[in-house]
Amino acid sequence: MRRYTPIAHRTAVLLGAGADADDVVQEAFVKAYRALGSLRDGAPFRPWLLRIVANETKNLHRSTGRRLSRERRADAQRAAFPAVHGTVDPAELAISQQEQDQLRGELLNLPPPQRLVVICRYLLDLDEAETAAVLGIARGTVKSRSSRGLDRLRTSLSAHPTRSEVGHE
Amino acid sequence: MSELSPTRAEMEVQVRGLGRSLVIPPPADDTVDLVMARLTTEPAPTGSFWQRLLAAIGDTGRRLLARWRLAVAVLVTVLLAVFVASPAGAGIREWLGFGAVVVVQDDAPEARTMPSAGSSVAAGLPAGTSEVSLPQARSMVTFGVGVPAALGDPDRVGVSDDRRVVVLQWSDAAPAEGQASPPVQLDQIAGSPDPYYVKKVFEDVEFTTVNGREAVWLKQPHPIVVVDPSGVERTQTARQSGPSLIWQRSGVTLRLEGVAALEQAVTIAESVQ
Repeated sequence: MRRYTPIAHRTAVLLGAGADADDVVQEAFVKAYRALGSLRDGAPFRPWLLRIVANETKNLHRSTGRRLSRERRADAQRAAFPAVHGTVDPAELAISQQEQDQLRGELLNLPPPQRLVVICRYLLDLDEAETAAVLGIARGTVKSRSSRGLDRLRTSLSAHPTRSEVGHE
Repeated sequence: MSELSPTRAEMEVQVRGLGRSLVIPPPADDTVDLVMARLTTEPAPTGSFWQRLLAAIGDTGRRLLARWRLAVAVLVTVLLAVFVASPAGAGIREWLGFGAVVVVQDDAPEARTMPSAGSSVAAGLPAGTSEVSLPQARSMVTFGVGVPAALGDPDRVGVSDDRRVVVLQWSDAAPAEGQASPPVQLDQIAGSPDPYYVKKVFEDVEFTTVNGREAVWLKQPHPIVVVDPSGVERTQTARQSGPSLIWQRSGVTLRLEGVAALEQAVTIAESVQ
């Protein structure tokens, strides 16, 4: 269980659980334990667990009782989404602090279906099959949504010439 | 596609970079402890398989389980053995690898050859078993040895070296549709709640009853894991098997192999005296 706590927690945070991430993880572990019998023989454990985490995160939004408008929900996720701090040398990432902040903003503006796929694929480093399992969608859908999400990010970043990189095109 | 800046691949790199630079507060230190505290009030996973397996273990077993911590540990070990022995088990073994629970992994039977078709029970007694007469067997073990009236006296009787298992064999019992049938074997394992025969499967499990009590029917051959009360695997009796019926009687766990049809197996099981 200790092995899966970090990834479960990270998943909960990035999918929008925010400060409730610990509760979500706890609940997910308990539910996973109860549902162990439904884990098919040979089915990989990690995506199965993360799907429960994803569903718990979704339930969290539902159970808070607030019928959030789309905007308010986006605000909620924005607040939950952690701010960027330069713990990693930006040179290593080939992306400046400013670009990171901008990218983070654009990512949050993606339509939720694309955003979820992009988060799973690139922020959680799940592969296509895992992403499909976690989000409960087809693998082809993962592929198309991640492509469309990346394209949209490219377009919107290109549209805002604040990026320092524009000069050396 | 129009030339955008950056390319999709570069975009991917940037998003990954963003992911690495995100500072996410670590999970609470007590997450695992809190989950474990909650799980101790959970008798067992409530999947139908678990409920029914628990039910199959029987009232006596459950009473003992409720009382004895060791027994609980044994049960959990047994349940875990089912998982751990399955391909999905590796993740769960680590996930539940905690405290007093001993996790047993069954590797030995994998290396053994599968029984040939039509002969689900190997001729002769299992390794670690000595051939004796039925009265001798009865005098050697501390539990009552039953014999199914439907099959009559066994052709061969064996007692395991540790005197915890009695094996009865019939060489040509229960012929099906005029064909020579494979040998039938009935194992009786001492004590409740230990040890149990545990099968490595959950798909492929059919639940039935023997004399009104839950029993488990497994259609396909499966390796068997046997765990003793101290959590130690009994490799000497772990072996491949054909279709089998598992039930309990007076605190003894019974396993019938070599009968192809469930109805027939139940009839034999219910005739045990």
